Amino acid sequence: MSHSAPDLLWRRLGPRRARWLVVLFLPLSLPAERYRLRDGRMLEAESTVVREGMIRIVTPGEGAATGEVAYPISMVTQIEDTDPAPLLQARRSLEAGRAAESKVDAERVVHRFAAFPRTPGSPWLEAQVLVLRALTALRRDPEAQALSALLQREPATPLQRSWMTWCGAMLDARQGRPTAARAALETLVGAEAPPELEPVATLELADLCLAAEAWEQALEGYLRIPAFHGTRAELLPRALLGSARAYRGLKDVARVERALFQLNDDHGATPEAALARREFAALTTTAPATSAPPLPPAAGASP
Amino acid sequence: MNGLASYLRWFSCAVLLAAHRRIEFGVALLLAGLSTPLSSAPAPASASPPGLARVASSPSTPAPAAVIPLVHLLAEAESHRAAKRDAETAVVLDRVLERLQRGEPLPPGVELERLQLAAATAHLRVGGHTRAAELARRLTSSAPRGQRAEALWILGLALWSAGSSAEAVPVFAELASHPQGGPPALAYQAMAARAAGQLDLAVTLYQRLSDTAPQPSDGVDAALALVELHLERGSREEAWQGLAPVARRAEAIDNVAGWALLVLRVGDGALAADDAAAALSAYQFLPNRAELLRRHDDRDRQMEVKLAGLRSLAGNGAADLESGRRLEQRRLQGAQARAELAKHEGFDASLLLRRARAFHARGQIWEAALVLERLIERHTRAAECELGFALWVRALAEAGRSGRLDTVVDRFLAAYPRSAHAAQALTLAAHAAGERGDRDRQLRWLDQALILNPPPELRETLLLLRANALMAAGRHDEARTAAARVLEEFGEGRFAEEATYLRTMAGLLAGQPRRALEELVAYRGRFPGGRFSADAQYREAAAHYALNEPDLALAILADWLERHPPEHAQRGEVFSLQGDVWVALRREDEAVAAYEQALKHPLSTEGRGYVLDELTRLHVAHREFEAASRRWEETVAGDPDPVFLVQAAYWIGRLRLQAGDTAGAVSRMAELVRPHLDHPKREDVERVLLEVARAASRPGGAGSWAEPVESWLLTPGQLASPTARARSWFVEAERASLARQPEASAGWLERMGRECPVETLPPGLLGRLGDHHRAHGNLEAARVAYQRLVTDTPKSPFADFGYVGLGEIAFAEGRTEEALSLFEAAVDRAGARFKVKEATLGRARCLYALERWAEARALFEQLASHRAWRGEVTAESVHTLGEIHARGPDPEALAQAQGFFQRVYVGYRKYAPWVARAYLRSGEVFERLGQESEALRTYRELLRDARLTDTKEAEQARRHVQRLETKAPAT
Repeated sequence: MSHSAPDLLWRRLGPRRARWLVVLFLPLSLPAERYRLRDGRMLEAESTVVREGMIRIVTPGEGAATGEVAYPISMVTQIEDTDPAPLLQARRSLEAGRAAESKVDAERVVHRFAAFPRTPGSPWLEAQVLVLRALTALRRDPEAQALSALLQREPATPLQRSWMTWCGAMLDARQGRPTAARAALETLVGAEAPPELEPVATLELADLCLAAEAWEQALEGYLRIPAFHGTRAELLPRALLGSARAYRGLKDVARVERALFQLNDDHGATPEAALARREFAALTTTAPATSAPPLPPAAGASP
Repeated sequence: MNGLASYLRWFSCAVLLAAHRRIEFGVALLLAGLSTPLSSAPAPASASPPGLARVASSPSTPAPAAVIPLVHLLAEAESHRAAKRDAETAVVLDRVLERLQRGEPLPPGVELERLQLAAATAHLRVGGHTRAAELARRLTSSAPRGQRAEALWILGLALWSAGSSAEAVPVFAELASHPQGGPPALAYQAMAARAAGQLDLAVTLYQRLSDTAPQPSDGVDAALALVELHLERGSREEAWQGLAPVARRAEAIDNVAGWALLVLRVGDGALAADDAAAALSAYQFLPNRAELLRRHDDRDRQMEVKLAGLRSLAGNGAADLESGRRLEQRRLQGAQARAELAKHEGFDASLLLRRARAFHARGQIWEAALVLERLIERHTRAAECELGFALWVRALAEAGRSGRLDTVVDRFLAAYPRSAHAAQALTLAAHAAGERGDRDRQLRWLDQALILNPPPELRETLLLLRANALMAAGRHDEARTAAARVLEEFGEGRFAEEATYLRTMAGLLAGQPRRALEELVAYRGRFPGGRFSADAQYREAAAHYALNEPDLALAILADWLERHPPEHAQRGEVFSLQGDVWVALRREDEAVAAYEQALKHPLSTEGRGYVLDELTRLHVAHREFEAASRRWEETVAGDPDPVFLVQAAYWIGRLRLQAGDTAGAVSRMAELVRPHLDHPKREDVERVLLEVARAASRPGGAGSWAEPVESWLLTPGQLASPTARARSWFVEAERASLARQPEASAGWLERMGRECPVETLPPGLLGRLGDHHRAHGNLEAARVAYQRLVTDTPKSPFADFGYVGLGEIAFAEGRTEEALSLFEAAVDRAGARFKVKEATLGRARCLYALERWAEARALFEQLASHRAWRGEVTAESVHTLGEIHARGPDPEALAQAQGFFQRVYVGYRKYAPWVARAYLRSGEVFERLGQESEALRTYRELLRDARLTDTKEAEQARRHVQRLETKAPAT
C-alpha cells in the first residue's frame, strides 16, 4: 500500500475534499519512480529494496506474518515517473562550470539505477553521459577514457551519442591527436547537429583549425556563432577573439581591427578581451599569426 | 509562489463571494417563507421555474396569477444566476427593480445596490451594454465603497464593449487606483485609450503595465502592445528598444506567433532605415517556423486550461468576467497570428535572407556568406534562393574567397541560368577577382556575364571591365580591341572617355608610340580637362622619349610641371621620367637633380626603387660611392623593416666593396639583415646573405670574416634560433662553394638538414637543402623539404625549387605525367625565377618521354638556342633533337639527326657522357643510311677517346665494330 501524501489525504478526507487539497498542494508533493513488471503490476520504488539481483518488498503484517516478496530484476520492463530534478541539477551545474558538483549529482543517479542500466525509462545512461562530460571538463582524462570505452557499447540516443563523441574529441585534442579530434567534431557541426551541442563543438573545431593554420576553416567556425547563435552571449567573446586571430592569418587587417573593437566594446570585461588587448597590441606586426594559446574556458560554455 | 498566492487569494475571494450571496439569498428565502404572506400582486407572464416557485411558496397553496412576491422573484433570479442563465437573470432583476421603483418595499435583508449590481452584471454578460452602463453609472455615485469598484468595473466594461472607449478611459483610470482594480484595470484603460486614439496615454499606460504587472504574461502582453503602438506611430527606435524586455521574458509570451510577426516588422523597419544592427538584433531572436508554432501551440494549450479554470471557478462579478475576457481576446489574437504564420511556408528562408542582408549591411561579409549558404543548402526550393545565390556570390567576392566563388558561381548558373541577378553577381565576382589580380578568373566571369545578355548599362560596364582586365593582364592588343568594342557599341556612353583612353594606352604599351601620340592629342582635344588629361600629357612625353625625341619630351614635361599643382600625385613620376630623358641626353647633373626631386614626391615602391637604382648608377659612374651609399643609408634609416632592405643591403655592400672597404661592406650588410634572421617567412634575407657570402669570400674579406659566420652574423640570443643558425650555415656553404670547396659546402648543408627542423627553415633554404639531399641520393629528405616549400609557401619566389625538385624525383621514379605537371607548376604557379632552365629542361624531358614529339622538339630547340644556358643542357638538347629526328625512316630526317649528333661530339666535347651517346647514335644512323664505312669510322673514333672507353656506349660500339668488320673486307 502506498503511503504518499496525496493518497493519505484521499483516505482521510474523502475524495471531494481531498480533491481540492490535492489541487492546492499538488505542486509540493515529490514524485517517486515506479517499476512496471512484466505482468503489468506496478511497484513503488519507495517500498522496495534492490539487493542481490532481486527487488524485494516487505509485506505488512504482524509478528511472524511479516514477510518479503522478491522479484528478479529482469521482471522489470519499464521504470516510470523518475524524478528529473537530480539530472537537471547535474546538467545545470555542468553548464555553470561546476563540473565536480555535477559529477556528484550524476553519480548518485548512476548508483540509484545501477541495477537497471538498460531498462526502458532508466536514467542510468543519461547520468553516465553526464559523468563522462564532467570528467572531461575536469580533465580527468584516464577516467573519462575508460568510461567512454564502456559507454560505447550502450544503446545511446543520438543526443547521448553526440555528447560521447564530443568528449572523445576533447580527449583526442588533449592527447595530441588533432586530426581525429577534428574529424569527430566535424560530425557534430552540421545540419543534424543537436542544437545544444553544435555551437560549442563549432568553437572547439575552430580552435583546432586555427592551431593548424587552416585560417578559412577556422574563421568560418568562429563566425558561425554570431551568424547562427547570436543570442548565446556567453560564446561571443571566444568567437570574436578567434575570428580576429583567423583574420590575422588571412592578413585582413581591417577585419581584425573590427573584430577587436567589437570584442572590446561589447565584452570588454571578459578574459578574452584582456587577452586580445595584450596579443594585438602591435597590430601592424609583420610576423604571421601563430597557433593560439588555449583560451580560458568561457563561463557557461563548458559542455 | 507569487502566482500561487494570487491564485489562492482570487480563489478564496470567489468562493466567499459566492457563498456570501448564497447566504444572503438563503436568509431572504427563509425570512420570506416565515414572515411574508403571499401577496395578491398579479404574477408576471413569464412564470418562475417550477422548482423555485415550489420552494418559495407553500406547496398546497397555488400563487395568485396577478402578483408574484418580490422574494419569489428574487429567488427566481438567484436560481437563474446560479445556473448561469444570465439573460433570465437580467429580465427578472429588471422586473424587480421596476417594481421597487414603483414604490414596492424591498424585502428585508436585501440591499438595493446589490440588486442593481447583480442586474448590471447580468446585462453585461449577455451583451446588454447600454442597460449595464446605465445601472452601473447610477451605482458609481450611490453605491457604498465596497460596491463602487464592482460598479466601476461594470461601467467600464460596458462602455468598452459598446465601443465608447473614450468614456471608458476615465472609468478604468479611477478603477486602476482601487484595490479591486489594479493592473487589470490599467490594462483596460490602456486598451481603451488606444482604441480612443489617446496614443500618448496608451503608451504611458502600457509602459507602466509592462514594468509592474504581477503576471509575467500580462506584462509581456503589454510590452508587445507597446511595441505595436510605437510601430504605428513610426517610432522605430522605441519599438526596437521595447523588444528587449520581451526577449528577457520569452517564456511568458502567450501570443508567440504574434510576437514573431511583430519582431519581423521591427527588424524590417530597422533594415529599411539602415539600422542593420537593430535589424539583426531583432532577427536573432526568432527560431524557425516549426519551433515558433510549437511554442505557440504549447502556450495556447496552457491558456485554454487557464481559461477553463477561470470559467469554472469564476463568480458572477465583473472582476471575474474581465480576466476571462482578456484571456479570450489574447487567444483570439494569437489564433489569427498563428494562421498568418502557418500559411507563410517560406518563413524560414525569408528570415535567413533578412539576416544575411543585415549582416551584409553591417559589413559582416563572412557571416552573410555563411547564412546565405545555409539558405541555399536547407531551402533549395524556396523562392528566396535565386536572390540568395546572387547575394552569396557577392558576399564571397567581397570576402575574397575565390576558392569557393568558382563553385558557387557555377552552381548559381546551373540552377538559374536565366536569372536576372546572374549578370550582376558575375560582375561583382569578376571585379573581386580583378582586385586580387586573378585576371584569368576575372575574364572568364566577365565573358560569362556578357553571354547572359545583360541590360545596356551593365553591358557597357562589363565591356569596359573586360578591356581593363586584358590591359592589366598585359594582353595589350586584345585590350585595345576590347576598348574599341566599347566605343563601337557605346560611343557616347558613360564610359566613353575611359574607353578612349584605355584604347590609347593599350596601343602605347603594345609598342605603337607614334599612333599613341596621335591618339593622345585627339583624346586631349575631345576631353579637355578630362580625368586623364594629366596622365595623357605625361604619356605623350613618355611616347616622345620612346621615339627618341628627348627635346619634345622635355618640353612637355616642363609644361606639365608648370601646369599641375605641386601636390599632384603624379609629380614624382614626371620627375622620374625627366631624369630618364636627361640621362638619354647625357646631362647627368640635371638627371640627378630630377631624380632627387622625384624622391621628394609620392612614388610607388617600384618607382622609388627604380629612381634609387638610377641615382646609384649615376653616382657610381662618377665614382661617388660615398654619396650613393649615403643615399641608401638614408632610405633605410629609422625604418626597422624597410621595403628596400634587399636593394639597400645589395648596393651598400657593392658600393663599399667598390670603395675597397670589404670589412665595411660585410659588417653593414650583416647589420641590416641581422634583425630578420630569426623570421623564417622573411624571404628576402637569403638574397642579402648571398651578397654577404660573396663579400666575405673576397680576398680582402678574410681576416675576421674567416671566423665562423655564427660568431659575427648572429647575436648571442640568435644562437638558440634554428632559423638564424641555418642562415649562418647557408653563408658558410656559399663561402665554401665560392672557394671551390664543394665537400665543405655540402657539409654545411648536411648539418643544416640534420639540426634544423624543416618547419624552421625559410623557403630559400628549403630549396637549397632539397637540392643538396637530391644530389646526394637522399630522395626522401629531399621530398620532405620540397613538399614543405610548395605546401606552406606556394607563392614564394623560391617555390620553383620545390616544384622542380619534386618534378625531378617524380621523373626519376617513372611518374612522368606527374613530373610534367610539377615542372609546369614551377613556371605557371611559382614564376620560375631561379629554376627556369631546370623547369624547361624537365618539361622537355617529360614530353620526350611521353612521346609528345612536336612539343618536346620545340622546347629542346628553345633550350639549345638559349645563350645564357650554354653548357651541358645544350649538349643534351642537341642530342635529343637528334634522337627526335632519328625516329622515323625518312633519310632526310636521318641526315638532320646526323647533323645534331655531330654537333654534340664536335662542339661539346667537354660533356663526355653526351659525346659518347652522340658518337654511338651517329654511327647507328650512318648504318641506317647505309653508310657502313662512315658508321665504322664513327665507332672507332668513339673508342679512341680514352675518356669514353669504359662507358656502356663504348661497349656497344665495340660490338658494332666487330659486326661490321666481320661483314666487310678490311680497309
